Formats: sequence, structure tokens, C-alpha cells
Amino acid sequence: MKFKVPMNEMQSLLQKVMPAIPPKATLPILEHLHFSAEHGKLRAIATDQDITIIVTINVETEHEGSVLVPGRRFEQIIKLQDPSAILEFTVDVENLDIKLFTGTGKYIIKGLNVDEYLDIPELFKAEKPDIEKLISGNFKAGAKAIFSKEEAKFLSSKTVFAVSEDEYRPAMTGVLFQFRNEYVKAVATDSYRLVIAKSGESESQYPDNLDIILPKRTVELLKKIDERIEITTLETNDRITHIRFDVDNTIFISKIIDERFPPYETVIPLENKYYLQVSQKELIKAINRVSIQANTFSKHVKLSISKNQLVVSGRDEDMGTTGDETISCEFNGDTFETGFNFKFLLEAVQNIEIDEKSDDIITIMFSEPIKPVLIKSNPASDDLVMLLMPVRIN
Amino acid sequence: MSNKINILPEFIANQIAAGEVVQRPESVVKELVENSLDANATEIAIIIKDAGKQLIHIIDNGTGMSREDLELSIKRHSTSKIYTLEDLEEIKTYGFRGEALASICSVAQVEIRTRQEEDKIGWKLISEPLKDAVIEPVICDKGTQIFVKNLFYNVPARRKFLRTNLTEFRYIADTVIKFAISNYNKRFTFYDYDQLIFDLIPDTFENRIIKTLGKELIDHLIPVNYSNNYLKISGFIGTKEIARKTKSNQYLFLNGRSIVNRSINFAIYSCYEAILDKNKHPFYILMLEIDPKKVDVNIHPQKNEVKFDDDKIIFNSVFESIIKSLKTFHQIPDIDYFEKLSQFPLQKELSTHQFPNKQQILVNKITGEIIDNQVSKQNFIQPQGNFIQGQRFKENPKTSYTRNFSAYDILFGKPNIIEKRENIKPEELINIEPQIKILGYLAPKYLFALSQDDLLIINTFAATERILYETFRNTENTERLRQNMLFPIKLNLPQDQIATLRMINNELERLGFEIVIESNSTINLIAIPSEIKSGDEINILKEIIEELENQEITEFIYDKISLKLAKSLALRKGPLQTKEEMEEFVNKLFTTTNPFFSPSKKTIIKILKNSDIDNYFA
Ligand SMILES: Nc1ncnc2c1ncn2[C@@H]1O[C@H](COP(=O)(O)OP(=O)(O)O)[C@@H](O)[C@H]1O
Ligand SMILES: [Mg+2]
Repeated sequence: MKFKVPMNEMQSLLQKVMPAIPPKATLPILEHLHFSAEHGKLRAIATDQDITIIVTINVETEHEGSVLVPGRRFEQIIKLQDPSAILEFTVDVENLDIKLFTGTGKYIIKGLNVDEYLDIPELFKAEKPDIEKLISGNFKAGAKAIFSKEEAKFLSSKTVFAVSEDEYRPAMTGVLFQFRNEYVKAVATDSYRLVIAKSGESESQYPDNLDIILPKRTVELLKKIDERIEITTLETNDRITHIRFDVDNTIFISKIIDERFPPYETVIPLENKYYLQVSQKELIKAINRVSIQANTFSKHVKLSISKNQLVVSGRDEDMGTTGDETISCEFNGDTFETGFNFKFLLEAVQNIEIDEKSDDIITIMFSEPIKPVLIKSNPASDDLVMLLMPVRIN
Repeated sequence: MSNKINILPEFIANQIAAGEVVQRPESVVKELVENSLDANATEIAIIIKDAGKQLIHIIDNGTGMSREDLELSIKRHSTSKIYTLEDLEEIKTYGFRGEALASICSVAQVEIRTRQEEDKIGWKLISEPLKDAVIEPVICDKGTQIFVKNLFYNVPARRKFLRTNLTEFRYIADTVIKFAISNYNKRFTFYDYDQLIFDLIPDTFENRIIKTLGKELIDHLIPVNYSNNYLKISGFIGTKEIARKTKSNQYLFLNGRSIVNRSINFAIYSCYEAILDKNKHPFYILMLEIDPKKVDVNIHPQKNEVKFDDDKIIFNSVFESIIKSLKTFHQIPDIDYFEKLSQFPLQKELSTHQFPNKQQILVNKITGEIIDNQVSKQNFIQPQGNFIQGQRFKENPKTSYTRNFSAYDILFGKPNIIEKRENIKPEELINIEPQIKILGYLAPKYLFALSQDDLLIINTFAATERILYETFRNTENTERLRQNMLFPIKLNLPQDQIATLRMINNELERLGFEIVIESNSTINLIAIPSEIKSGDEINILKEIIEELENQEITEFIYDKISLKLAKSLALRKGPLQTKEEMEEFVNKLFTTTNPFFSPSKKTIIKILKNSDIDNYFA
């Protein structure tokens, strides 16, 4: 096997494919990249069994063939090379030594036979692992969707922080994507807060009535994609098991979480009598300041709201410390008092995106003291809704 | 149809009452000494034969009784101590039920001789079960003498159930010692047959303790002095060196009455939790004084159990008072450390335990060792002749036994104590803010800090356990924060765990949980204490249930759950992030009652002194 490729192209390939290499692989073989060169193309595969990334680039092939490349070491070497150099990649058929020529340098690393990669039965937990099948869609391709540029980034970055760590409730360890023909919603909750991001773009395409839960790691990867994405669900035995994202020269396949997401619509209070409107910046500052004085374990801050003023306070009984910040606000009720975990409150408030119209003002909506509150950029918008469960005092 | 309900003849009623009041010779001694104390006696002699089975003879110099009172005294429900219902709510005397003498008279032959100071002549009452009492005039000292002979002779079943003489004697001795300790300003003389066990003259509290319980206690008694507007606590607790494997060295008095109380006991053990092994029992002699209205002593015929209006205040007060003393006297835990931190000069107050030369203890009947004594038989064979008003029992002239003998040693054998400690240095430590500088953090567990010249290594996990445990305890009756969930967690549990949960659910709720038990196998977790992090809810709840499952759940459920919750949270503690967070953490630790040991006895702070470090490089 032998090919030549501009160094910068190899560098960008590695950037795309390496995220699937687990930081600490359970199987050492998975720390390898699967390289195969054919018809002037190099295809690189990395997988951690949940996520598989396949990137194809054009190369100048001299001998076709395939090899397993020790991923991290290879990446380290390539990263430090001059992007304008040409990389010559040769595999010794005898001993599978990989020789790298960079113009100025020569490196030898140990490759492995690709048979070893394919022979690992655990891979994908399917009967017999078959990367070819996975790519070419021997899975039955199901519904298709298209995300416009930036759409995946928006949906994932706004939701992923609220994902639960609770392994007892696997459905909540991922982000729910709800496709509804006209729009898509991404929903995440750890049961203390809930976030809904909604998007409906004209150049996008959404299947009707499709709900899938993507694992947190997959969503983290989507956060980094700033391009148009083609989405295909993959089914085995009429059940969606994986989802495939096609981005430019990259294919990205992920397992889905095959669980039922909690019925989140039911917990959204329908009638929210009270509206608090307050500057996002001021509120963030206030929370940051008083949280220093709050109990580090309970992380409780109190909001005392009256017509034109909001007092945010943190205190620690054990230490005898208190902190109050008063900011102006508009409130349509008389007085209202509630409390939150300041970390949750801060994340929720920070997460809200302000549209130009509402200049820095966010809206917090209340119904009853123990019902969740809603945080939005303005009462009418539903692009991004945060739900936060208050902390009650016994 | 015949009627079946009879009013019991008085005698039978008395015998039934005796079953409760008089269980063994010790009970008789207790009741009679109580009566003497209630009669304001300042000198009380107790003489027993055959561990009280043959004779219990009590002599006091109290007020005595008139002929009429004497006659009434042995009648059931006859008492001079309460008149109205209001009195019952505010009992200041030992006795009040008016059933002791009546009960005793139904199970023994009793003779009472008594004379009031103002009367020229005294009266003698002779009573035998089922016979009318005979009263006749007699010449005797001011005060009262009671002879109780052949206890239970007419109730063979009870007599049979008495233990060996040695055991019964110990019960009596223990009771007498308790009276002697709590009434340290009175004279107590105690004979077995003609052998003097002890003759204790009025003394200070501390000296009385040492004389009754042993000289070894010198230097190991830590004073407790505490009061708030609910109660006053005084007395002594022991250093850890004199803790024992048995609970024998524990005395608790409430308004002078010896009591047992789990709440108080638990408070004391909680204070010692960090410095004593699990199988060791702290020494304590505590006198609690409380408004008699706020406590009910009438819940048990033997009057040694009491019910407080507010158990929690009692718990907290005892806890606070003892922690304070332990801290002041460096029991918790590192002397040098606190000395350094202290801005106050050491105030060297050595307890001045000069021993009076005259020592009293002589007899070792129990161990078989008979030590010569000079007390003549006539002292009690003709008691009325020799117990002359105002005259004290002879103190034993022998001084050679003053060394190591105490009544307690003789009765119970010598306790296996003790290396001598450095003198205890009392020192005021409260409100001293330690100046501590954070040096570094070996995440996630160890914090390194500098305090004066010492390097402190702080186990943040154990520290978290301490901090949280105290937070939970402090917020028990105030505000607990409860984080509600959008989606309750449905959880399946084995049936026995559900049963446990039912028993502890109340307390879990007070801590901030909200759990709905749906069936015998499923629960819904609706809210959690706000300290629990997302993802840990179920594991922590399960850990609590499992912990409590294996315990006998009766009392202090809240404390037990708090402890387990604190432990579980500590294990899951995330790393400290910023320097400020570390500083705050350490400050918080030092606001706790014991920054050095966690409630489950893990070491929180290890102190490396400069010299220790030098040693590493030596
Ligand atoms: N040693 C004593 N000195 C003076 N009075 C006594 C003495 N012992 C008993 N009495 C009188 O006899 C009464 C009955 O005693 P007792 O049966 O023990 O009932 P109580 O102590 O509950 O009143 C007492 O209330 C007291 O008036
Ligand atoms: Mg009495």
C-alpha cells in the first residue's frame, strides 16, 4: 500500500476522524484507524463501537491496500508537520511497518493487519461486524432529513448541557430529536431542568413524526459541525438502531438510545400568570456575585420578586454569610418568592439567546411556587425554552 | 349470673404494687434512702445483712414523723409530698407516689422508729403482712430508722428469683454510690453486717466522686458547666483514657434523681464518637437541672425514666456542653495544634485534688480480703443506742489504706487504668479563627494547607462528611431545601426495603426527600435534598435504606440517616475547583464541632509539624 497526499489534507482528515477514537479504549484495537486506499481515494475509519466516523479524501494511489494505523501516534506525528508538505505513506507488506516521508523527515510506525479490526466480534455488537455494510447501507435506510448549515450546531449546543448523568434513566442521558415535518425540536433534561430548542428552516428537510434520542457524545460531536448535514436513520429488523450523518466527505454513524423519553410536554405549565422581565446581563452578574455567599453544598439562591425589583440572595447558615443583589425588573404580580440551585439557574439564564428585538431582556414565567418556571428570550418565542424546577423550603 | 369484678383487698393491691416498686433488695434501699433524703436528712446510714434479704436497716437524721403520720405512712397512696394535681406536675422530691412503704410492708416485716425534733418521745411501728400494725412509744434519736426484715419471705416466688448475694449486694452498692455522688454534701455510711464499706463525709462534688469511684480518676475528670434558659448541666466527663469496655462508669442525674435516658446518652456518645473506639464507653457523671414542670418523672414506678417536654433541646444542650468541655480540654483532638492557634495564654489550672488524710475504706468482703476495721458491732446491734444525735460515725483511724483504695475498687474490683496524662490544661478555644493558608490540592481528595508552622493535610472526603452531617443536624428543625424533580423516578425495591422505607420515610422527608410508596414493590421519588447531585439520587437513597435496614430502627432515625447521607455524599464529592472554593471549604470545616474527625471516625486532618518533616530528612 502506498499513496501520496498533501499534508494539510491528512491533517484535516485526522481532525474529523479522531473524535471517534476513545480516550481510553476498552479494546486496544480500537485505538487504530482503519485506512484503505483504492481508486485514488483514501478512506479512514475510526470507531468506539457507539460512534463510527468515516472520512474519504482524494489521494494519489500507487499501490492499493489497507492497514490499521495506531491513531494517536500517527496524529501526533502529522500534527507537527508543515501543512504544505507532501506526505508519502507506504506500508511494508512483509511486516506492516508504516513508513512516512514528509520531505524532510522519515518515520516508521507499526501497523496492523486490517483483518484484526474486522475480526473483533464485539464491534457494533452486531452478529458479525461489517463495516462495509454499515457504510453502504445494508442496514435498511429509513427516514431522511437535512439540517441546514448551523442548525445542528444550534440544536446540540443549546441542549447538551442539560443531559442527565443518571444511568438508571438512559433515555435522559441523550438529547431527544423530534422531527415534525415543519420543524425539529431538540429536548434534554436531567429532571431538574429541561431545555427545548426548536428550529424550522426553509432549506432544511424534516421527516414527519420521527423521535430519536442521540447519546450525549454524539450530540457533542454535532456541536462542532457547521455545515449542511444529510441525516438517515438506519434500521435493523424494522427498528431504528443507528443514525447516519453525511457531511461533505465525512460519514458519521451513531447508535441511538432506544428508550422512551419522559413525557416532557406534560410538565410544561400551560398557564403562566406571572412574567418577570429582567436584564440577562444583570441577572447573570447578580447570580455570580451572591452565589459566592451561598452554601456550597446546597447551592441555593433565593429570588424575591416585587413589582420593580428583584433581589437575588445567597446565604450559608453554617458560615453565617449572606449576599444580596438588587436589580430592577418588571413584574406583573405583587410579590413572588422562589429559590433555585444557582448552577442550574445560571446555566439556564446564560443559555438564552437574545434576539435583537428584546435587547438583553429575558422573561421568566411563573405559575405556582412548586411548578417549574419557564425562561425565554421573550414570552412569545419558543425557539429556546428553559424549564427550571425550583427548590422548596421544607 | 354472678358478678365477677371485685375491688381488690388493700393487701393484694399492695403486693401487686410491690411487684413493680420492690423488685429486689436494692429497690428497698433505694426507696428508703429516697425517703430519708426527702425528709431532709444530712446523715444517712445503710446497713444490710445477707445482701438485704435478711435485713435492710436505714438510719437517718431527718424530720421524723408524728404518730399520726407514722400510722398513715404505710398505707397505700399516703404521701406527704404532693397534695394537688399541680404538685404532680412539678415534683421536687424523690417520692410522690406514696406506695413504697405500703409495698414494702406487704412483702416484709417492717419496723419503723421515728421522732420529730420537737417531740420528747418517739414512736415505733411494727408491721407484718396481713396483720394490723402496732404502734407504741419508744425512746429514740431525732430522725427515722427503718428495719426491713426477711424481704419476700411471704412471696417465695420472688425470693427464688433473686440473684446471688454477690450480685444483689452489687446492685445495692451501686445504688448507694449513686446517692452518695449526687448528694455529695451529705454523709453516707454503708455497712455490710458489721463491716464498714464506707463512711463518706460531706465533700466537694469532685472529691466525692474520687472517693467513691477511685483515685485513678484524678486528672481524668473534665468539668462540664453549661446552662441555657432551659436547663443547667454540671458534672464531669472522663478523658478517653478512662473509657471502659462496660457502661459501669456512667451516671446521670436529673434534679438529683438518677435516671437513664437514651437521648442524653446518645448525645454523649455522639460527642465521643471521634475519639473513642466503638466498643468503649465514655465516663460521665452529669447533673441536669431543669424546671420540674418541663419533665415528667411519673412514667415508671421505679421513677428512673423521665420524659422531657422537648427531647431535642436536651439532646442539643448536652451535646453542646460536652463538645465544649472536650474542646476546652483538648480531647478533640490535637493539643499542640490548638495551643498554637490559641491567642490566649495557657491558663494552667491544675485540679487541686489534695486527698484528705483520713481515708475510710477498709472492707473487702466481696473479694474475700478482710481488712481490719474498728467499727464495733454495737453500732447497729443496738443502733438506737449508738446512733446518737449529732454524733458522727467514727472515721476509721487507719490511714495506711489511703493509697489506692476506694469504695468502688473494693466493690467492683480495680478498674484497669491508666497511664497518667499530662495535666489537663483548660483553655478557651471558642471563636478562634484559625489562620490557614491553602498550599495545594491533590485532587480530588487531599488539600494541603499551612497553619502557623504546621502542615495540614486535609482529607476533603472525610471533611465533607463532617460538614454535611452537621448541616443536616443543624437544619433539622429549621429549613431543609428540597429540590423537586420534573420527572419523578419510579423505582422497584424488594419488599423488605419498602418496609424499612415506610419506617424511615418521615425522617427522609424531614431531610428533604419526598417519596411516595406506591405499592409493596414500587416507589416514586419526587424530590431530593438539594445537596444530592443529578445522577446520584437512586444510589444514595438505596444506600440509606440498606444502611438502615440492618439496624434496629427505634430512635435517632434522623441522625442515622443524616450520617449515612453525609457519608454517601462525601464519597461522591466532586473535586474543589478554585482556590476560593478551597478556602471556603476549610473555613466551613472549622465551623464544625469537630474538624479533626468525621462522624464515622475517619481522620480529617493530619498535622505535620516542622519537626516531623525534619525527621523525614534526618
Ligand atoms: N425516713 C422518713 N422520714 C420522714 N418521713 C418519712 C420517711 N419515710 C417515709 N416517710 C413518710 O411516709 C410517707 C410515705 O412514704 P412512701 O411510701 O415512700 O411514699 P412517698 O415517698 O412516695 O411519699 C412519706 O410521704 C413521708 O411522709
Ligand atoms: Mg418514698
